[in-house]
Amino acid sequence: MPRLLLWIIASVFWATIIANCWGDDRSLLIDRHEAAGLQCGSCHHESPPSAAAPNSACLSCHGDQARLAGLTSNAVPNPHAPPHLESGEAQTCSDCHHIHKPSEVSCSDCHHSFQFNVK
Amino acid sequence: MTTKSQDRVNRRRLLAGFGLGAAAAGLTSVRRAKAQLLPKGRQTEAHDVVVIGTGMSGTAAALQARLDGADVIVLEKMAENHSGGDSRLAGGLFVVPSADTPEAKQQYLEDFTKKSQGRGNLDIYRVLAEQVLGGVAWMKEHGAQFLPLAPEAPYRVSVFTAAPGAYVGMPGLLGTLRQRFVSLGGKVVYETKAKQLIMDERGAVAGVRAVGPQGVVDYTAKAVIIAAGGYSGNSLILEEFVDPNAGAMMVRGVKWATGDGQLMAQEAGAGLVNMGGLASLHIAAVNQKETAAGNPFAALPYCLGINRDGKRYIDESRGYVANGKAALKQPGQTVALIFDEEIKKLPDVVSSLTVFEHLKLPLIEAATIEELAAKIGVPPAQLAATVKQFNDAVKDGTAPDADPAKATLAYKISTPKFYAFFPLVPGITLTFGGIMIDTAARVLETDGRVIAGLYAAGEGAGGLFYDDYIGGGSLANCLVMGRIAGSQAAKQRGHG
Repeated sequence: MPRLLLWIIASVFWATIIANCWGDDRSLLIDRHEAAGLQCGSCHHESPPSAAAPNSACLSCHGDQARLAGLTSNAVPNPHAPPHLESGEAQTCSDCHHIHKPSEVSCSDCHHSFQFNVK
Repeated sequence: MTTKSQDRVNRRRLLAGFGLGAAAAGLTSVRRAKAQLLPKGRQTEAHDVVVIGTGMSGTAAALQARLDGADVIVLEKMAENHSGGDSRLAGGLFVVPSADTPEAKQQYLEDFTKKSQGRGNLDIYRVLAEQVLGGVAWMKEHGAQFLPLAPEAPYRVSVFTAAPGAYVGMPGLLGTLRQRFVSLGGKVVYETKAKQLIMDERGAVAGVRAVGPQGVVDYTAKAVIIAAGGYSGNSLILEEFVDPNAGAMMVRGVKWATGDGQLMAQEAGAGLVNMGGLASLHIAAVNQKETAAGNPFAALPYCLGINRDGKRYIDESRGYVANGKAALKQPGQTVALIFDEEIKKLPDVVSSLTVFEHLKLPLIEAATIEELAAKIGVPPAQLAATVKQFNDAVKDGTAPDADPAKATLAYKISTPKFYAFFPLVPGITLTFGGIMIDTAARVLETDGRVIAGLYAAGEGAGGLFYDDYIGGGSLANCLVMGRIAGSQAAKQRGHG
């Protein structure tokens, strides 16, 4: 019996650790934005919002396409410098970065080798 | 898109062993979606035209119908960032006659016909020959940009490639045309899957019952255009129509091309055409991770295809579908394309190399043929013998006595360094079979009867190609037949 008890305690311990880790990994960008003091109206211009915030809302704080490309210049290939863009064109942030649900690497629809750690 | 199991190769071997080109033993009808269980939509929206799908054909259809004055709504089952279907992954080539002359159009028609062994849809080839140059001009008029017209070796046709280049232009082209459509008042709804057609008491199609974020919605219309793509992501259809093992094949296109359009049309009585056997598939040998862009199609006709035994297995000038299907039958279903320093300088080869370099895909380099053989895992003596035999057979750009013979673009492999695109494995690019239509994009029953109010265009309609095609032929079809479908559907506004 003591062994069983020990096993149960160990299981609960590890389950808690794992759950916390997953919790961290699965935290949504809304949490960070709320923690930074942003309100719904900081990004959305309609209430209730019917779509993702426009690029301009993201770029006003995070900088333009060139700055973002610089931040990820070590990634190969650079997710913020795709050859698909024409000169001066910006990516749509919400194609990959979601605020209210987990983000995704939408490049991988075509590029299965791209494995970015998207936030 | 993905390999489905560890035993893929073994199952593929079975596929090769069962006999290529043979249709599945039983062409039983594919089990239909149970969409008829859906209740009437809790909401109803009325439009003139409903378009299903946001790929090249759907986008062209929607924009054309809107330009012709129709109130148009487009339904896309995926989220916006996954929209565009196989078109978004495509190389972006639109094959056109080399000039706006009757002679060039005749050559276009002949090359298309020959490539499909005379068993493609010749009526639609004629329409493409007449209208595709106008179609490209129409896209330019609406903001799309292309590379300058270029020849497409070894055929007698030319090609416009969506700017800025092969495999990079289609997302932008689709976005530009879609933006134009929306700016003209067109509407696109995403994450809204068309589940079944609504038919009225006349037996005409009168709308679409769809499921979106808010539940079931009925989109009523004077005309419906199915532009929902092919069925390469539907293993059941592949297994029933192509080969019992075809469901295990790697899929290069989007995995959500699941034949929704074919199944929906079939429910309404439409016929399907050119669905049988491997002749109904476009297969290419590609990089196994970058399955879309990792296709050195432009370089292929100048290279030598080499299998694991160090031997050639195909006339490389027959193009990338013939190469892909031949690769299915090679040991380990893995092949290489080899070339030398001189061939490396040819513009078409540079084009493929640019894509591979950008995506950091492997390009094998070696100082000697034997070293190249060692790097691609084939017997060095055999590869050296294969290259020598081929080089000895090259005469005036052909190699009729090589084994196998090469009809054109035969270049000696003799100047170091030597190179290889390797490894390349076969995968399904797109599907050739589809909904029966006429040259006005009207959907037909098997006996030729027209289903009123229903149109179809694009990859999933027409049974355009048989066994093989000319690169850029599918997008050309999507553009031309999409526009025709849009135009015809818009005319239905005055009816009913």
